[in-house]
Amino acid sequence: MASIPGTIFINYRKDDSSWNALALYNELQKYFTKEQIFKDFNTILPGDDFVVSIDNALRKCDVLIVVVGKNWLQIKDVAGKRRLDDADDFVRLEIATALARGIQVIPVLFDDVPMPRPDELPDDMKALCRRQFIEIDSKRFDDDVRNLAEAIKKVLPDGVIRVTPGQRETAHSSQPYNAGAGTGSNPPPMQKPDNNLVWAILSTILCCLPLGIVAIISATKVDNLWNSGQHSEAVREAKKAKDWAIYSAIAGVVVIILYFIIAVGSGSY
Amino acid sequence: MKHTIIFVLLIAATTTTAVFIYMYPPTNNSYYPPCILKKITGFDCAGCGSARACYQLLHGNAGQAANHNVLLLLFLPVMAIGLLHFFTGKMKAAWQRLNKPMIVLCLVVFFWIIRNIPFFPFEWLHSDK
Repeated sequence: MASIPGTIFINYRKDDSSWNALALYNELQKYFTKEQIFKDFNTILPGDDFVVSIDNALRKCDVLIVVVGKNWLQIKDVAGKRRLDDADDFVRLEIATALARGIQVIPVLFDDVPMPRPDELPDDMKALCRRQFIEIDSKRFDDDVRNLAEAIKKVLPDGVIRVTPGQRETAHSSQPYNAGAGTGSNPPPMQKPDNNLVWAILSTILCCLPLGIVAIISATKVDNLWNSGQHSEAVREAKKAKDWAIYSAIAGVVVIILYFIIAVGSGSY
Repeated sequence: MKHTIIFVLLIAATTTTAVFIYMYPPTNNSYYPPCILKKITGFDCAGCGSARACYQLLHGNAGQAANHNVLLLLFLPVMAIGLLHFFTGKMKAAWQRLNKPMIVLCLVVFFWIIRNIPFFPFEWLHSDK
């Protein structure tokens, strides 16, 4: 399928927001496939040029989520220098690269942290302040992440999530979260299935057997299952909807043919 | 264009059926098989009358078509948009708004029940002879 894959990268600072990022990563999997969301994508191997590494990683990125926690702005290194002022700081490099490249960047503010002001940020990050942010509160976590997911869906190429296996090999291999799972091969990517309602309606209305109704019943379940995170059940139900629409159509054709044979055989024409 | 084979098959089937229906009016004593459910139970199903409705539509009588199966008339634009989206990917927003299986299910079941109520005004929904 020649479609543009939609990929979401989560940018965060370990010392500031590792739990925020983890919670976000898990919750976003309700809306997107695991293969689409990358956390810790910037793992850099010894000898790698990290500017090049970040550049390569971001090439596959459609949306960069910037997790901003309580200490995001002020956190300092051992020398007492603010991390964001370090030109080689990963968080800064990723954000600056994404901004420079015109990637959709969504600041996500945790724990009532205010949006940083331009004068608080280094020059190559100032454009971040002009990006529409989303606030996430632990008390409204589900709702807030849903809003974020809606916002992401709007900017993804198709509004739908498609991952093609093999397209993201590099990102996978540099992604410790998956590597740690040690599955060897990636699970087949999943996208929200079409509920096949068109075919269900067609077969209900146009076939001479009311089998299509089973297809419609299956179609009603697809979205709910998907939205509640039961992805494989949703895919199964979508397939059931399609199958029953097909059975209905086949049954209709068979009935017509049988009718013809019987009618011709009994000489009623 | 996606699903070219399905598209070609569908167009071929639709055209053949349309030509056949256009030429031969589907009345009770004709080439058309009756709905099995109707044959057995005597009740209309939700799809009963759709061949006759198609015949009337092809001859330009929307009112007559509605008389045979008003649900078909209602779903035609829905199906048109759904199919267009399926094959071309266009009209995504419109289809998303129409793609409400629960409403479709309720409509079909509701229609199925009330069209079998044997007195006015429900009688009008009956597929008719």
